[in-house]
Amino acid sequence: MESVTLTINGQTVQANSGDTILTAAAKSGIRIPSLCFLKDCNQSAACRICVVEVAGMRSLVPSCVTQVREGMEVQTESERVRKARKTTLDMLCKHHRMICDQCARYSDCEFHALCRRYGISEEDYNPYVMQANADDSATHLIRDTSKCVLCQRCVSACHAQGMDVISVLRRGWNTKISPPVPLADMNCAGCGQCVRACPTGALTIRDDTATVRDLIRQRKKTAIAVVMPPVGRTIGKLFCEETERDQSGKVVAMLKKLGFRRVYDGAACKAAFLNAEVEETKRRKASGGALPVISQVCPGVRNLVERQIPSLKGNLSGMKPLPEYCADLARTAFAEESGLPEEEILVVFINSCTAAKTLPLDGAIALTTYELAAMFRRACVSRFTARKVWEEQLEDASFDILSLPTQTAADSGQAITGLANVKEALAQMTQGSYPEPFLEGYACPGSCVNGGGAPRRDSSQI
Amino acid sequence: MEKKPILALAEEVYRHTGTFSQADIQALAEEQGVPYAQLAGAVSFYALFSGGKLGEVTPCNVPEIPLTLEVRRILSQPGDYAGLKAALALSPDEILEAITASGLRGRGGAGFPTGLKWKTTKDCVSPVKYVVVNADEGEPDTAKDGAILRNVPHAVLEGMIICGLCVGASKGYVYIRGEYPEEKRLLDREVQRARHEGILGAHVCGTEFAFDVEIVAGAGSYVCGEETALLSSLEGQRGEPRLKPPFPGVAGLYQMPTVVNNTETIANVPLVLRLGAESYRQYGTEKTPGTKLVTVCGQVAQPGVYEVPLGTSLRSILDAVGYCQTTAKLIQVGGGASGCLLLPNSLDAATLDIEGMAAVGGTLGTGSVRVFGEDTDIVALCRDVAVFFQEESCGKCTPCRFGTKRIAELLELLAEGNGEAIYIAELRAIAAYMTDNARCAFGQSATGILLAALRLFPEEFEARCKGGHSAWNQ
Repeated sequence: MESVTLTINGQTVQANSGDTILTAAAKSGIRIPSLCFLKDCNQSAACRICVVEVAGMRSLVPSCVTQVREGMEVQTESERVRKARKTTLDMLCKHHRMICDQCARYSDCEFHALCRRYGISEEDYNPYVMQANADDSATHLIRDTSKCVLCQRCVSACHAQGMDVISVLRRGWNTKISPPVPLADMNCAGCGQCVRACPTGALTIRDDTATVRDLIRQRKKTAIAVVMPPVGRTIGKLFCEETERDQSGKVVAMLKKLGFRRVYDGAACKAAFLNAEVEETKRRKASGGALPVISQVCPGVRNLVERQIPSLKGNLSGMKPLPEYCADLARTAFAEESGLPEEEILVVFINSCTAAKTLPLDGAIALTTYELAAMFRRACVSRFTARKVWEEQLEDASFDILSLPTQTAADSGQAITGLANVKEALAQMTQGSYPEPFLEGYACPGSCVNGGGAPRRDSSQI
Repeated sequence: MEKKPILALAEEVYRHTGTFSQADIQALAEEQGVPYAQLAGAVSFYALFSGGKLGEVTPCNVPEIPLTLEVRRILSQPGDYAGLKAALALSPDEILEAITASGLRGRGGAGFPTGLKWKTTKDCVSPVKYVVVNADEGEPDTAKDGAILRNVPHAVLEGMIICGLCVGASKGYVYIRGEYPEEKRLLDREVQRARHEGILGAHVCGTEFAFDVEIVAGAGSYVCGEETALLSSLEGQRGEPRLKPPFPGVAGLYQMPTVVNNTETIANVPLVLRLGAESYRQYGTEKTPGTKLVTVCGQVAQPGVYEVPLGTSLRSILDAVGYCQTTAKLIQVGGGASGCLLLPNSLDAATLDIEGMAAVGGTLGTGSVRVFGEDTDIVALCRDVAVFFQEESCGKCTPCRFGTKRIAELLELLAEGNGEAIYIAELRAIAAYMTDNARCAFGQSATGILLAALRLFPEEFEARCKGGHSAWNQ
């Protein structure tokens, strides 16, 4: 690849030809603020936050889509640029319901961070009073267009999943990012990639932490938890950790502090679950039954089949969806161990999964990594103390033992991740050309670590 | 890849039922295999389907007797397809050479050399290429494309076929303004005739070259006149301008190399081949050869569409159509929304060509000329333009979405006499900000008229502020 030399803020910088100014700057340690840019997802140059000044250009240029050229002279924080960014932010603020203290995104709102950086405050005069405009028809997420900054990151994320549930409606000042009808009436699979892409509180996971907390505090139920592996692998980021090591030990300790009596390892449950499905596939092969078998391991894929491709419903495995299966296992085991009646036990299934919230979980509640961190923060009074406690006071604890028929997973073949890919496989299946007998598909790209309830994506990831 | 344009299908449904319910959209989406939400988003973009206001149509009468300074070349082409026949005897390279030698430049406003545009597409290696004609004449005060489609629709088809022959495209689209049903009908009739006579089809004039044309009507959106927005619209998406590069010549309709030419540009093409590049250059200037259709309106005795050589003095055109200098306050050239404003006393030096207009600080644009009388309310004029832009903004980028709204509001207050001096400062600030930050030419030029008016008539704005003239100075 050809190398290009340019200057950014007077500093000489090497970049690859084809790089954008934003990427080239980031590689040299210069962070250009951005909002609608989302790596490999949304590069529409719509928000105009990342504009920079390039010598010889008549107007400011968006650094997220402008490619570097030899000898280019770029200014990323000149007075002209700062003024333009402030005006843009000011305009966005006037179309945004600034109720930050009541907003679920308060702790990590990208938009709010930009406003703070450029000194834009909600007390500024605003002729347009935004009214709350929430769509809470769906069980997994809540949309509030009054907090939307029209960056269209969710639209692109949904499109990348091959779902196209959310789109841009109308035009000009009346532009709205929304499904054309309430979300519950769309064929949404519940993957939550839109939530993960949202830079504000316009899209939030339906928060079930208050229910869990109240049930524990009021001692109405005894709470136990099943924790899936992505939780430990991603939660650190929500406490400002740089590395991505497995923090399951701390998660167990955290849950114990929050009042959970037992914390079980979901990885073992999942292995048992997949084994059972592989066995079922063998049975179907031997004695007849719809093939290929579609795994119920991912509720998002199950939703996709049930809502969009009903002709393949018969191919779903006979198992309950994984969250329900795990909850049942844990409940039975704990009931046996403690002698408590099953209806007094609350099982909380924790994964980075928003789709689990679309299931009618009887006697169980699904929480996401994101909610767990929020629940812990609230219990620790503030963000700062939570981080302190996380770093200094939580000591690794180990999972409680859950006796299972088998602990090792059988070979279930290659998993397919991302709804767009799963959809393609399912399309092959309807044509009878899917080569494997078993489909282990995951709705989220790269599987559950990138689930809708994992730490959010943000514009600064280059 | 290539389907019947969804916009055309949507229009059929709409014309049939008179409404467009969510159920209709859902049914159409299912039938076409496109995501429902995406189609709903696209449909809601257009004024026709969402209960919005359609654009106004400027009368496009071409007087029967030409003015003495007129040269009717484009408007008097016979329907014998002689230009096409001349082109069929040439190689694609020779056609390109002729177009390049003629010096023909885009007539939509930007003035880009047509030969260069064609060359880009011609040089692309691609199994499929397209020719798209922009007949989405949304610019207020402009009716030249309407005049061409009414009087010489065959010239448009002929130009398209020649272009296809040159660049290697065998499919053409005419994106015609939704407000032009009559023009669409006439063009459609011409397409039928051409197909019947073997001019369009699998064997153009009996040769092995195949070319066919489809007409798609817009549905009420000014920004779709921008070439990349037009392509998005043709693909059945929201009519939002795309980012350049890539340019349409390389990746246009369905990401294939596409020539997008204005109606007037393409109607010049058969002339070039009919007359030869040398004779074509007989009229016009060295840098902008040929003739130009001019739409004259406002306070003149004979409004209409006239064809004059490029480089004709603006003054002589105005005199010929009956213009009274003493009662004229302002002349607008180049389009009712994105044109420039000139004072009558600066007219004498102005010639009607790209360089001539630039020399007096204006633009040729679409070549419209409007004369405003002495009783013209400048603030109200600016407000009307601002409201137009607010209604037509696609809403994608922050500066345009918010800026057009705020400017329209402030001008409304000023026009009502409820202004404050600080509003004028805010108008200037937003206008400058939009020019510097908007995502496409629409947003960057949306404040051109406002800025010109603020420069030429600051006192009219100040007089609308409470307490009369303000101490505020530019």
